[in-house]
Amino acid sequence: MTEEVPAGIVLRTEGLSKSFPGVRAFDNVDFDLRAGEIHCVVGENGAGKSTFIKLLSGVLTPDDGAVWIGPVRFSHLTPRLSQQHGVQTVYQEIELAPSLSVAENLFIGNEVTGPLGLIDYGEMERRARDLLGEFDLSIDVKARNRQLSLVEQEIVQIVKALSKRPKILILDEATASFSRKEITRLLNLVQEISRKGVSVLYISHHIEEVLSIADRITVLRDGHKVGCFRREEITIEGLIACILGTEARAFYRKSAHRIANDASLHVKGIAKDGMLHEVSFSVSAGEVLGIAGPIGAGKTELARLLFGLEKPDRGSVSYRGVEITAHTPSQAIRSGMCLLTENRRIDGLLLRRPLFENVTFAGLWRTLGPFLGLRTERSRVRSLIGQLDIKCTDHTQVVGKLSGGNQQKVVLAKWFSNAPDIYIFDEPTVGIDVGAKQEIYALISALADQGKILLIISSDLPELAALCSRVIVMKDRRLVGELAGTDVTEAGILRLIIEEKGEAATA
Amino acid sequence: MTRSLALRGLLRNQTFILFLTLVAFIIIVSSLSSHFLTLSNLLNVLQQIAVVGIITVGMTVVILSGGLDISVGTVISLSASVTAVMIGNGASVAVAVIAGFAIAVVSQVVNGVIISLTKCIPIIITLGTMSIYQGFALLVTGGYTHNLQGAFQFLGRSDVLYIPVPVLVLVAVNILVFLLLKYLKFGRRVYVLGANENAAFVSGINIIGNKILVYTVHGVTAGIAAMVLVSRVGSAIAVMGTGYELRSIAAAVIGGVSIMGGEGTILGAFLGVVLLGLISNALNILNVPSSFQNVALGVVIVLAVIISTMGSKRK
Repeated sequence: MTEEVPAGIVLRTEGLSKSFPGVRAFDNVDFDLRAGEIHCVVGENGAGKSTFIKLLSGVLTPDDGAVWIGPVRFSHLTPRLSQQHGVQTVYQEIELAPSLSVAENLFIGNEVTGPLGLIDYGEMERRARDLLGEFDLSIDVKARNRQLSLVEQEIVQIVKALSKRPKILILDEATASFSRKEITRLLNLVQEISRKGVSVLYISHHIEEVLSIADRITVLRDGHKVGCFRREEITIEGLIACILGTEARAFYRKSAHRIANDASLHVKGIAKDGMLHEVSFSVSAGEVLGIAGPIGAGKTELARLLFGLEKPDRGSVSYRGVEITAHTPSQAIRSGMCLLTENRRIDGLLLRRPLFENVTFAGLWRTLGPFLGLRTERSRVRSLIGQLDIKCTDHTQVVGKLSGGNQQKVVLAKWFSNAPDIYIFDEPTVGIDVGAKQEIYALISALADQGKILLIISSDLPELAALCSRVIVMKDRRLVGELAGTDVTEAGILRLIIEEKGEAATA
Repeated sequence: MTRSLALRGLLRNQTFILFLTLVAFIIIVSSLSSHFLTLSNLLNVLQQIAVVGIITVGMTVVILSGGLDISVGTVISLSASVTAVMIGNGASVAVAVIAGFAIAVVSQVVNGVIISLTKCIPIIITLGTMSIYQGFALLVTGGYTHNLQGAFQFLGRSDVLYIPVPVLVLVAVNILVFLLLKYLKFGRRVYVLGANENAAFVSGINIIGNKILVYTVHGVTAGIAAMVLVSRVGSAIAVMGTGYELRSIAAAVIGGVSIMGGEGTILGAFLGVVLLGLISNALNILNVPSSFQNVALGVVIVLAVIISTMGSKRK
């Protein structure tokens, strides 16, 4: 059933929706992409950008709504169908074989063969060179992929997608970890691609980048489409306001914690070559310190160094006058620290094990003797389940079956049972629903009231503005600024990030 | 409602499926042969599976922790050979047994130290040490059969209260390690390591120390198994342990121990051993040629892996 399609629209969605357990990740979105345009999709972490890409490329099936590619309507896309109809998607991660040459990577699964069915390397390299030449790219087609820089690998990945002659190219955070010069190189390529008539759907959270290449910009927030603008009708301030949606997000109010006058945690010049330049700061008991900055700024690296997951080359950490520089997580834990990692599924939880084991395994060292003490364990876990309001069938439920918010609470319970003084939270509310977010904010606030020290790393600026009494901003693996008191606002933090970007570029 | 849920949970439990399979198997075979379901035959089966059953206990701990060991067969050979050669050369039984047992423990501690310090893949490391221990076994025996000349019969050839000692040892080892996994912090850490080593590290668990301890436990059970084996056979050759590594891994997997680590129980692994023992016993009684027994063993392993994979996918 083909319907009347407005001229020049190559891809369209209507009422597209997708839910995950506990979260409405993508809600009733109408969207269209015109021939030859660069259409950028922006939004914060968790706004629904990745879900959108996966729905368009057929990795996820929508619960409701449909996708039109050209005149054809799909309610169930598969990756194969999406590609057959001219959609190519390039994901953030490099998906190339490191030990193969550029030419081999470009033609994986599509090798150029001679009369005997053997691979014709000469011809394949010639075609690879032609392909790269089309976009004025000078990359040695015989070079192994691992010899290339990251940006060159990304380019090879994009050219590989283009070799399938798509009508639509979807790029997911293509510039995530590149320098300014590399970003310019990549953006030029994107513009060249659109000039050749391919429609580009460009997903990014770099606002400046988006403003420099977009024909149109669609803004997502919490799974909803909140705006679609032509480039010339929007300013950077307008776009930021739309992305943040300040008025709608003011659902949490900072409570006034009593912050101690003297700082008790001192981080002095902690650094590791190739990972983090010297970072120093101090925090007082009862203080919630936010750590902001773009992806690749070194926020997670700072947390890993503080917690002993990486060994610092220089610098020291002291708490209440005692040096606690950690070389292993075990040392950090014993000096009263805990780390809620960025990805609980990778290094926070035992997904296939029951809840109670997940809660207690980090605190086994606290009791004397070789025995677990199953009865005390059970009652402790049950009381933590009640205290944190973890929704589960009982303490033996397998953690992988819980919702994201409840899983995060299990990680919190794990650390609570260790009674630490210093809490480092790395993206504490990623992938969890609004209700659970509020509960976690309340817990953070309660910890601060108890005089604990909290470091909150987050890309969610409203979250930082709502929770933190002070925010430090990182960029290019160093500390670049600080906001305190009434200056701690979403716009304030964002301005600092953008400004410092500009300075770094001119420096 | 709750009862049907409980029933469905039970049907997804591989230990329970295995138990049903065992019961069905026993009913079918006993209707084919009146020899099968007799007390003497069942004791016979238990005696036959004693050695592999003891090894499987240690192997299960290793697999639960996310490891694997394919050198254990040659560790058994080396350990049994040392004891037999020493007894043959006039050493006292006690000294020879302690030495053989210690060799097994040391061999596995070496495995554990290399695996935990280098963070290399256990299957490759133990492929290497398998060859090393086999070489030592050949050196120790010089390629000959070494007879115990009637000494050291207690562990393999005697009964206590009509029950063969190997069977008692088998049961004791299973119960001890079951208790260790359930009630000791170390046991919990075994599961944690296998379920998510990254999370274990972030949560301050001593990865290296616990891994070495895991292989030490494995060495202790391997040493006990080697002593039972050499005592029962009454002599040792350099290849007498060959094949135990694969049979113990197979038994654990059939018993529902996840080859990825972090999931499984001692009881399940024990039932896996019993099922393998009953199958080969039944095929013997029914006069099925031994080459076909290998085929049957293979079919059971493949089926068990398919069932357990389907079960975990459904989760």
